[in-house]
Amino acid sequence: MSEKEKQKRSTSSYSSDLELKLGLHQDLKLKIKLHFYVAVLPLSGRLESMSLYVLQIHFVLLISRQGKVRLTKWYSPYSQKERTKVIRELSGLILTRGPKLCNFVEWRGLRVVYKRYASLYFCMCIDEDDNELEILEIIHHYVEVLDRYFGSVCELDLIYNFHKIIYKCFNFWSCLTLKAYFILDELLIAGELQEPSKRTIARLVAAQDSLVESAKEQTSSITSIIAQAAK
Amino acid sequence: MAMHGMRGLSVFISDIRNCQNKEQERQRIDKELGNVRNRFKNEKGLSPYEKKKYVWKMLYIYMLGYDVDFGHMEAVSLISAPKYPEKQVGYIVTSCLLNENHDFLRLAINTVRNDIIGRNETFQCLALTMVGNIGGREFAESLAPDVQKLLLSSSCRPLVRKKAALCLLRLYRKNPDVVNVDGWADRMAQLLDERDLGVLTSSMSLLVALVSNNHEAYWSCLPKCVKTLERLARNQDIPQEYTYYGIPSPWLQVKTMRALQYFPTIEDPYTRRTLFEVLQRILMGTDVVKNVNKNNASHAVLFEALALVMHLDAEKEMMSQCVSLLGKFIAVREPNIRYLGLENMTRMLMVTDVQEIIKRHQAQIITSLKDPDIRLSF
Repeated sequence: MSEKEKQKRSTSSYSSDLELKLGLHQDLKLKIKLHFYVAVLPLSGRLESMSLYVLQIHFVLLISRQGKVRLTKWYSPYSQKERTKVIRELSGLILTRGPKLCNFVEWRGLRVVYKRYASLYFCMCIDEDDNELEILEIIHHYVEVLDRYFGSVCELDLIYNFHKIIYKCFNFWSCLTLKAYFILDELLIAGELQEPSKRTIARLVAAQDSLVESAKEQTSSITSIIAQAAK
Repeated sequence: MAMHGMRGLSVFISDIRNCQNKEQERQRIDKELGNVRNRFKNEKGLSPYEKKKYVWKMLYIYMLGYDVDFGHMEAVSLISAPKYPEKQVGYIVTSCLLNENHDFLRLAINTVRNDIIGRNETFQCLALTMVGNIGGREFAESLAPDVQKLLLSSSCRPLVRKKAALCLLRLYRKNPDVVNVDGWADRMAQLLDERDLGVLTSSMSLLVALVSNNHEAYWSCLPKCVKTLERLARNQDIPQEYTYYGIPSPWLQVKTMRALQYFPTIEDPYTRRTLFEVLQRILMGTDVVKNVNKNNASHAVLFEALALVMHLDAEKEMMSQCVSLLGKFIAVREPNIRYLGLENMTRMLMVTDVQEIIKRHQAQIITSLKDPDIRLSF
């Protein structure tokens, strides 16, 4: 935080020059001040800060309206303690935002892009100078893939729908859904978008499912053979 | 036997969901953790299937927010399971619970490497995904050559190659020396000729990282980027599945424009002219539409194009077009576009030529700022 303060202070003199030049209204002055620490880099150097270690997406969170975590994926090393803290802070920040506000919040020098689908908030954390709308559409892309896979997805699907393929007739109280994690892994790697085609992802996930199915069949056929032989 | 196992898992979960308060939940969790801990201690009695089941429980508990400080060994050991269902759980849970700061993730390097160089494509994918997500420096040193081989191999399917591209990106971020610039300039240029858009998107992310550190070495990639952008902007030959609400792969467009922002100038006049035509097309052709997603996607491309225009220090006319577009956005109802319009306008103020142009829009900016909505939102 102190680093940001330092930045703000050094740009304030520049900004006051500019304000004078443009003869700006009070309100606009305030807006510009707020945004200057983002704009402080020269334009072509807007990306100068994007060094080797900058990721596009730092982490993905799915939180319910009541603040329960449904899925987390971290593309940056966060310790268990840090993760808990992040989740608590962001839940407090995002869940209290009204519906008419924009889908980006600033948080700890980063930006969190979020969108609410039914009772679930999908959140992805990026850097300040990344393309927010792009991320918003990555979130939508993910939801569409989930939708395609589960058939009209809702939060309950993520809770219940774990063994859908294998034990279709059972209404299981499922786990965090290994499936959603698998689908997320087909969508993003290293915090970057991997596959823009829903159809390709759907095909891959279906292939994986049949692999699991056939493995189970193999196991059961072997066990039944052994059972037979043991009789 | 299988059903019984699953029932245990589902019973546990319904118990948790039926808890009336945090206290009860804590008690149930502690009981289960103790149970799992004991089972893990009797390692001899655990089949991979059972291990998988307990590892799932562990992950669920972890997701609820409780500390799970044991069982990492079991999760990692599942990675070496011979069968796919167990192996998959091992990889995914390890990716969730561990990260590069956990020392014994290193123990998995050999198994992971075996999966990468092995013939089994599915195992390769699992391994590449995990390394791409949580791999650390040691992974970079041991695995980079193998991952590179997969990326460049023509016998590998696009499925594997796109994961290899992003995995390599991760390894490069951990240790830049693993990508030897001399060899790679040509290879990157080759990769950019790729037809499969999934592989191209991943390769472009890799290019952005490489170019951000050394744009001189990758000059040959510049015209290819422009060509890709042109192909996308004109919707030439883009398979239907890569069209997102009518826009050809917006993410790839954004990524390509980002890569272009790392080259300081464009020498070749022909390339420069082509690029400006494409940018012009994007600037003129983007409207605010009703469909939210189409709107977001087309504006994501537009905002990135604006950034590129500013970077290229384009002719005054184009700049003036940008400013008038931004002026239009500031007046739009949609909060996202309005916010981004304002932010980009602020960035443009840095360019001295533009200040004059912005002054013309001053009145409009001020009226929009007076709108109570914005003050509350931002």
